[in-house]
Parts: sequence; structure tokens; C-alpha cells
Amino acid sequence: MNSLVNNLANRFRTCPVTGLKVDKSAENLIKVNAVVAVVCLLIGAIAAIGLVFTRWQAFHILPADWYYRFLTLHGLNMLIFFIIFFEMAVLYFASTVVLSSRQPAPKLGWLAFGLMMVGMVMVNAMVLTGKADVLFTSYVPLKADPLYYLGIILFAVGALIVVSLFFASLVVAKREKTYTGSIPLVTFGGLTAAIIAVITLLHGAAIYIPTFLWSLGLIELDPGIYRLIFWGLGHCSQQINVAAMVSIWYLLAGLTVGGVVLNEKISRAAFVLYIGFISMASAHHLLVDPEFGPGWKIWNTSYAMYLAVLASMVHGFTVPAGIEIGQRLRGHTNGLFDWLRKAPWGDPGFSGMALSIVIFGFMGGITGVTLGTEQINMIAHNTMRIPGHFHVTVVGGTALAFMAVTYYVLPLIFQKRVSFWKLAKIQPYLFGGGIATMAVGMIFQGIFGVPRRHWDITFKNAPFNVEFHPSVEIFQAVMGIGGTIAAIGALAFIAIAVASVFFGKTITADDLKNGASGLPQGVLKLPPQVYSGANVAAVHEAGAKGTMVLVFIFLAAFVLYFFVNWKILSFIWKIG
Amino acid sequence: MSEVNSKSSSNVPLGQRLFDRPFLLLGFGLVVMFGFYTIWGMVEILNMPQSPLP
Repeated sequence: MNSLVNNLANRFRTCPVTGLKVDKSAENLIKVNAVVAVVCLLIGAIAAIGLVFTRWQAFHILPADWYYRFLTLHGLNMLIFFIIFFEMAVLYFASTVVLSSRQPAPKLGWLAFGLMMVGMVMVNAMVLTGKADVLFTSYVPLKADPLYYLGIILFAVGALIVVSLFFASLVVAKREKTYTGSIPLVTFGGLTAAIIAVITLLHGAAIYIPTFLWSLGLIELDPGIYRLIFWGLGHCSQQINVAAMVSIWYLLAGLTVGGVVLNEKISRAAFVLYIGFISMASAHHLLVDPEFGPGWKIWNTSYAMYLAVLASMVHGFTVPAGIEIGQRLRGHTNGLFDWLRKAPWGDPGFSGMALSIVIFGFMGGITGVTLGTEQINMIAHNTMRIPGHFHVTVVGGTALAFMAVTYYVLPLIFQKRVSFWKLAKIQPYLFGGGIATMAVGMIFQGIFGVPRRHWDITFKNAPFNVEFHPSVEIFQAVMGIGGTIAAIGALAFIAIAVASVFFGKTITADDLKNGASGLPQGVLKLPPQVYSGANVAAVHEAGAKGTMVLVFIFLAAFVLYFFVNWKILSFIWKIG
Repeated sequence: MSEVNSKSSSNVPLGQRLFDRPFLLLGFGLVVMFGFYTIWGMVEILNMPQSPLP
């Protein structure tokens, strides 16, 4: 009995910065999942360079078969492997570290990690050996080697085990009373991500098991049904990202500037709207498919989906407003934007989070809602506007938020100082600026009708002529330059993460006391997480006026973009 | 990020009690998505009339 108690006691360490109890077995699982995520990011980034310099017709470096191979490699490693491995780390963090609880079944966690690793290696091997040139979507009847589908199934089973462990951790933490009241908001966001992950993975099982059997020649598979169920996996997997990303925004707001939650009820209700309705955004991919009637399309992509958009706009207000209130409580009260000027812009955790919010909200959100409108979708479907949109949501939003939190994970979980600290300070600007520029280039190409997933838009050797407006060449250059800057930003992040984890200096108490280089300001001096004093009521009374101004700028941009798109539609689709 | 007060269960509002039940939220998410997107979508496909191809 004593040895059991000792074992349990030895499983934990106390974080010197946050005071949270950290289960070492959960910590190890966080570490390995985060490290593999970065390796997948590297594979995806190398493929991205090949893609950018092929789509940019002035270079056009890859032959057709390698272009589609790289596109498959890029899509899978960025949208599935990098993101989901990192999300597994987030789920372990949100369920054990934030709740100061234990991981209930560490061996099962390692089994899940093993399955995900085997699946990831199998899929990448099939793609690189040319046995799965089927792109991320692997639409039937395009057929890959059966091992490709088996790899995805193994990966999904591993991820489902981790999600189950997340739920088990919540049950254990509640039973062992490691927290009182409701779970913290960051964990609630993790719960939202976990629920969407269950929805995603069940759709994955429902489509990839039959597709595996189809690839063996055992059954028939209808392409329409494949598309319907596949997007329950393909798009929902990106909605796990949204929930995880928003949770990270709340976490980093607290860690970097002592941001407050304006209203727990509102933020939690917004997460519940995600649980109910964000997954239905999958129907956007089927807006031009003839099998579905307008009732199904409009209910899923408009009425239901707008409830999730409402949730995003709630978070898009409450996170910056919470940051503003936190900054004002710390004494930055002058004018409308003193809180923003005095923010720690040299802390990559803060700058990465702030850029993630701006890029996701202003660019990703506005373009997404517009593309999701059935009429406008007709002029945008399968054009470069679509990758333009999702590169500012999944990459400029989610990946940048994951990078930002890594600058806190390295010292708090890996207990290492961040290597190449000066480079780390500019990395979020490089990556965020590059992605935003690249997306602008893509979106404008799409407006001129340039198709996505196309090797050669000059249609060389084709039996017909297709000419695009000459300005497309300018926007290809914008895309290429932005993509190059983003790739440099991604490679800088990978170099920083790898050097910190494997060669970085371990943090000592003196480092924390003396403000050593490589430690974000929120780690050196954690801002207050709960405020008290005479000015608290006054600051809350004054409200978040600066954020309100930003909200109206956002609204004006939204209205303008939406109106311009309807105007473009009226030029193309003349009635009467 | 914020302090959560512990309250006796009788004082906890209904909304909070519902939000405190992860498996209820899981069921909600599954029912809505499978009901409106997946099953309704399958019904649409399966009820599609046969194309009168020559």
C-alpha cells in the first residue's frame, strides 16, 4: 500500500511557475506527441515549398506526378498528422496538467501513440512510393494501395483512444476532487475539441473501413456516399482545430498578460454552440453536388452553421476584450489602445496568439462565411479562393496558435529555455505575415477563376485554350513570395523547437530569478490570474472600449467583403 | 484564466449543471451532427431518382 502511495506521489512534480501539479507520465506523452507533430510539420513544410514553386508558373519546378504526390503529402501531414498529434498533446495538457490530475492509463496512452506513429509512417511511405497519389480527400474511385487506408485507420484508432483517455481523465479528476466546481474554461475548450474529435473519428471509421475493403476488391462503394461521409471526417477534423485553437487563445491570454474571462457563461455557451453546430460546416464541400436538395444544404451551411459562426464571433470578442481588461487591470489605462501598445509584442507567445486571432478572424472568418453562402459558393467552388481561405484558418489561425503556445510549452513542460531566442521573437511575424500574404495571392487568383489542385494553369498541350487575366501572374508572385516567407517562418520554428528540446539548456531556479534569455516574460513573471484591489470595479465598469472599436472595424470589413462578392456574382450571373 | 467558485449543487444554475456533464454534451454533439448532416444526407442520396440514361 505504501509503495502504491509513493509511486503515485512520485508521478507528480510541481510547476515552479504556475504551481500546478504535473503528472510525469502525462508530461512524457505531451512531449512525444508534440515532437512528432513538429516532425510532420517539417515534412509538410518541405512539400509546401515544392507546391508553391510549382503553382507559381514562372518556376513550375515539379512534374505532374510529383506535384500531386507532394500535394497529397502536404495535405495529410499538415491537416491530419501535425495538427492531430499536437491536439493529442493539448488534450493530455488540458485534462491532466490544468486539472492537476493523473493520467488514468499511461500504458494505453503509449499504445495509442504507437498506433498513430505506425499509421502515420505507413501513409507517408505509401504516398512517397507513389502508391497513393489520391490527395488528402482520396475521393472514390481514385484508388490507393490498401495499406494507405489501413494506415489512416490505425492512426484514427490511436487518436480515438487518446480522446477516450481525455474523458477518463475528466472522470478521474472529478472523482478524486482535484478541482472544485466546474472544470476550467481551457479544459472546457479541450472537452469541446474532444467531442468534435469523436464525431470526426466515427465518420472516419464509417468511411475508411469500407474504403479499405473496397480497395481490396471486396465491396462496391458509391462515390456520393463516400463524399458525404468523408467530409464528416475531413472538415470536422479542422473543427477540432478551431476548438483547440480557441482554448489556446484563452490559455495564452492568461499566461502572457493576465487576461480575464469576461463572462464564463457566454464563453462556455459559445463552446457548446461549436459542439452542436460547427461540424455541419462539412456540408460546404457538397454545395455543388446534385444529390442534395436545397433544404439539406441551406439548413446545414446557413442556419446551423451560423450558430457556430456566432460562437466564433463571441470568442473573437471575448478573448481580445479579456486581454484589454487584463492589461487595464495591470495599469495600462490610457486612451483606447494603450493596452495594445503596451502589450508584450516581443513575447512570441503573445504575438503569435494576437496574430492568430487577427488572421483567423479578419481573413479566415470573413472569407469562410462568404464562401459558405450557397450562391457565392457557385463562383468560388474549387477555385484558389478555397485554399486561400483555409490557409488563413488552419495555418494562420491554428498552426500559428500552436506555435505560440509551444514557446510556453518548452519552458513549462519540457523545462527548457527556448533556443535562438532572437529568432523566436520574430518567428510569429514571419510565419503569420507570410501566410497572410500567400492567402491574399491565392484568393485573388481564385477571384479570377484560377482552379485549385491544378498542376498547370497554362493548359499546355491541351486541345483547348484557356487564358486567365494577366494580373493573375502578379498574384502568383504574391502567393510565391508570401509562401516563401511562411516556409522560412515554419522552418525557423522547427529549428527553434528541435534545438530547444534536444540541445536546449534546462531551466534552473537562477534562470527564473535572473530573467535568463530564452524565457517568455509570462514565464519569468506570471501575471496575476485573479485580480483584487480598488481599481477592479472601475476597470470592469469602464469596459473594453478599444476592443469595441476593433469589433466595428471587423464588422465593416465583413460587410464590405460580403457585399463585393454579391456584386461580383451579379456581374457573372445575370438575371433578366 | 479565471477563478471558479465552488457552490453547493442546489445553487448551481441549470445551464451550468448541464454544461458540467461532458457525456451529455457528447450525446448532444453526436445526435445533432449524425441527425442533420449524416443521416439526412444519406436519405437524400438514397432517395435520388434513377437517372433516365439512354
